[in-house]
Amino acid sequence: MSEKSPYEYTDQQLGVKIKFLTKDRKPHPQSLRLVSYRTLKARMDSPKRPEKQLRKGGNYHEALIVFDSLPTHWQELLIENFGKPQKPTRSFFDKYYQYDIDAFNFFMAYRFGKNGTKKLPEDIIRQYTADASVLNTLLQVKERRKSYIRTLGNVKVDLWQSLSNDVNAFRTVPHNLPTNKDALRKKANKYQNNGYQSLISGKFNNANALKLRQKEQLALIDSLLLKHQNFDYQFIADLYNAIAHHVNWPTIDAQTIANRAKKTKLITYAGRNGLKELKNKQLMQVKRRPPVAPMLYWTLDGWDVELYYQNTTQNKNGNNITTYTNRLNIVVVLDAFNKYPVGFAIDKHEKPAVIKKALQNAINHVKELFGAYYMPTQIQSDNYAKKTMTPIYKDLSMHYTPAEVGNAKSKIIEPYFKHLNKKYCQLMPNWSGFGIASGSKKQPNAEYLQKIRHSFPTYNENIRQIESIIQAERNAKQKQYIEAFKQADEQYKKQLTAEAYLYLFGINNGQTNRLRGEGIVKKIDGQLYTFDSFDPAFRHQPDTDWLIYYDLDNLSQALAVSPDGSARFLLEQKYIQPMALVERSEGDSEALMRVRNYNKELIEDIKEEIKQNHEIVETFFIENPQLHNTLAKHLLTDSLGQHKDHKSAARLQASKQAGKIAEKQTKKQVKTTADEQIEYYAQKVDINEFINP
Amino acid sequence: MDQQTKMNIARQAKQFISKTGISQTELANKTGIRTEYMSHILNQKFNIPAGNGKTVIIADKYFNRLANFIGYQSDNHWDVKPTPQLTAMLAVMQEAREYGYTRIITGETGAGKTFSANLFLRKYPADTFMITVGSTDNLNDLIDKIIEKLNITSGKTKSKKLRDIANKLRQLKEDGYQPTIIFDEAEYMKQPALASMKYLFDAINGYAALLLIGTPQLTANIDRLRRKDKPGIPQFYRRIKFGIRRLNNIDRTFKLFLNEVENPQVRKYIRSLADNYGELHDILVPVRREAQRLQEPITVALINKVLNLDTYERF
Repeated sequence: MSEKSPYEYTDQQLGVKIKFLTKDRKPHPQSLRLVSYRTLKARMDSPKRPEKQLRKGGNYHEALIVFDSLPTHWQELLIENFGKPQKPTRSFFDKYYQYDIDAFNFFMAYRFGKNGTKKLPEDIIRQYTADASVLNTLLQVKERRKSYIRTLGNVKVDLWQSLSNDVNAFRTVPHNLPTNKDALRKKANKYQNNGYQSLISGKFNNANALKLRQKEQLALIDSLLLKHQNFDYQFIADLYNAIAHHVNWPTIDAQTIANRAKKTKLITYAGRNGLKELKNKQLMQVKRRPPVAPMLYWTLDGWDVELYYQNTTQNKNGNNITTYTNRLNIVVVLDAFNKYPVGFAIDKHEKPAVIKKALQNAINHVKELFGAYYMPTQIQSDNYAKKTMTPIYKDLSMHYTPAEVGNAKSKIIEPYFKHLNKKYCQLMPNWSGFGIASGSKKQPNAEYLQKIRHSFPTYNENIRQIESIIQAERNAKQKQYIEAFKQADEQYKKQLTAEAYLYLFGINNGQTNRLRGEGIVKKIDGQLYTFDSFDPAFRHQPDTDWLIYYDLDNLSQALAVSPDGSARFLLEQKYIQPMALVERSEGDSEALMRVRNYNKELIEDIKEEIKQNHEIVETFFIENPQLHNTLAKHLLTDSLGQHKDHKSAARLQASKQAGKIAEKQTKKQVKTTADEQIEYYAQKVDINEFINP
Repeated sequence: MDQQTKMNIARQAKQFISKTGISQTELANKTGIRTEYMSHILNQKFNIPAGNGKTVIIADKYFNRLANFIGYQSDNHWDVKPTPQLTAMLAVMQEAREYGYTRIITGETGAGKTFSANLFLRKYPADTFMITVGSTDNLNDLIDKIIEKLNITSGKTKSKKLRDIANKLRQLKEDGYQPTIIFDEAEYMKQPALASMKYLFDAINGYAALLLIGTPQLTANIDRLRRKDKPGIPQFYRRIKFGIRRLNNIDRTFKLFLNEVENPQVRKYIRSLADNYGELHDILVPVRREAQRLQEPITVALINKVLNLDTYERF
């Protein structure tokens, strides 16, 4: 729209320049002089009046009033004097404008603030996107315009002024670019060099995007805080200040260090306290609930019981030396259901044999409570004696889960020991305290302990002390334990076989025994015991040197294991029959019949096997007639014993007939196969061609 | 040998030449008869001029050789029966000849292996070469036998000779023949000979058939040598593993042969005497000939008389 035209389009609306309507305040020479400026202004400001201001006046643009809001006769006057307003053509700038989607994505993804958690507000994103899009257009137009100006020759054109005019006039998008040409130029150049980032206000800049100097300072403080020597804050401040002096950093005090330590606790904790503590105290932990029934989850560990006992030994000079600060170790097998101490074993030190004894104690206790050797579904332990104990854990349970090294929190037995210590041990006069690692200040009076040391229990008395603690624990929880087991799902009640029990826990003194006619005779604690098995396979290995595993608490059974471990047989202690008939009692005849029936069946098995061998051998010789005159054949046919064993003639006759039938069947089978082969060859060749050429 | 027999042999030899396509010269070579003798025999001129007006009668031995080669049977005291072993051997050999396969055929002693091979040789005299392995033959001896059969001249070294043998067989193939080389009684082959079979196999596989015929000792030998990892044997075994054919066991009722014997006692007696076809042949042929001559039926007594058998001495 030209200077002579009262019309101007802006914000996609048709406006009329006010100076073409007013009669004062520097009206246009061709003004219609319809109203004073003040009146018109009041009308535009009044909510009751239809006149609406389209744009306020400024240094580079005039005040406009919406054409359609003018009274009709004013509109007619305008049209009469200045013609109908023309629809605006797209501006030069408009033609080149393109929305920059990459800018939008950049600002959408932009994060700032501490740890980069904040994002830009939506209106800011829109504004920055518009700014970027307009600047893109501006740079494009600038180049074209520069080329155009060159073609004009000696014409002076203020390039940036013209660009600024275009940018200011371009209000299709809500950009916020500077209206001043110089400011616009600076912004455009900065944008051209630094891209989208240059459009972002300082207040949206990253808190971590500190000057490199500040980052170095914090990194130094953090590194000192991390040190495993656990320096106190004043010491760190002193170290820091010693460096600050050299590099002109401001000095700091211990409080600054303390503040920083609070902020970076997660990072520095590992350095100051170790990874184990970090995992146990700081990192996320899995929360688990206890099992819903007994025998589902056992955990075990050893603990040096906090009860002193006195021990007297002799030194090399033969003098008695008594020590008073000895402590026994207990391995407890704990059922996680209600923290029931299902098994335990006590010794001077924790070792694999003690752990095994604790497990045996657990299995036996389970038998006492529930009537059978039930096995736990899962066992958890630490990694102590892993190589020795893992096979036992795996044999004893369906699942074995070792605790991660240093993962104390995963074992519920650690707090259980603390509970025992607090509830029981602390009550006893020979209590040794809460342990150094606990850091507790509530320790027994060392002076008093020294005074009463002579009354400390002996080794055996200490054992009884500890046993009474466990018994007390059991008494408190046993009823609940038994009831819960009765209600438990049957699928979780898996029994350990007697064989497995003996193999895991049985004693074996390393000496082997061979099977005799009477059975296996074993000397145990000076007494002879005879064991045997009714499994026929046992008698098939008369030359095996068996290792015998037994349980001193139950010698009714034993386990025979071959030297390579591949064969195992459960043995029973032999039933002793009275020699004299008059001394026979109930059960004797049943036991006798059992033996007789066993032997009878074994003999039948032997005979059957011999008969089968005979049939196989006979068939073999039939199929291989070239062996008819061999010595083996003659020997074997004679060795059937037909001419010796008259008593078994009938049986042998039946066997012979059966053999003949088998022979015929075999011959028939062989013939059929041979016939097929002959037929095959016969159809391949006409032998008459060879016989009668 | 009477004149009539000679003439019969000559006539049959001519027919043999006509049927098999073998040349007169080749027949002479194969039978070991001098070519001029062969020419005279075939022309039924059994006297040869010796110069100075003298003539020489062609000896009976030459007629016998010829008769044997062409399968001339002057009497019918032994008929060829289609035993399973004969059928199998001919089928295997025929297939091998057609496709240039290598086969190992094993069977019991007296099962008719050599007999079958001779029948095969008689049918294809022009391109079938049979070598009988001797118990004392070494590799050189065997190679020389092959060279002689193939009628080639060769180099001095074993390797050269084997190459020449392979070349000759390939050449026969190219000339339209289907060459077959048979080693009979191959159980006598020692490790060097068996190892060289691998060379022959590689050289002629697809061109010529290679047949090793023997008792089960042959395969037992190969297996034994293979397990000991003797040079060349595992390789040879690999090549012939699925080319081994085992003949069925001999039917010792000899049904095929004794059906004509009416006397059951004689049949039973013969069965008790003979352990294989070879022995059966050795029993029946002289007995039948004598029975024919004496115009007597075949009885147990006649058998004992002809064969001079004393039941107490028999073993």
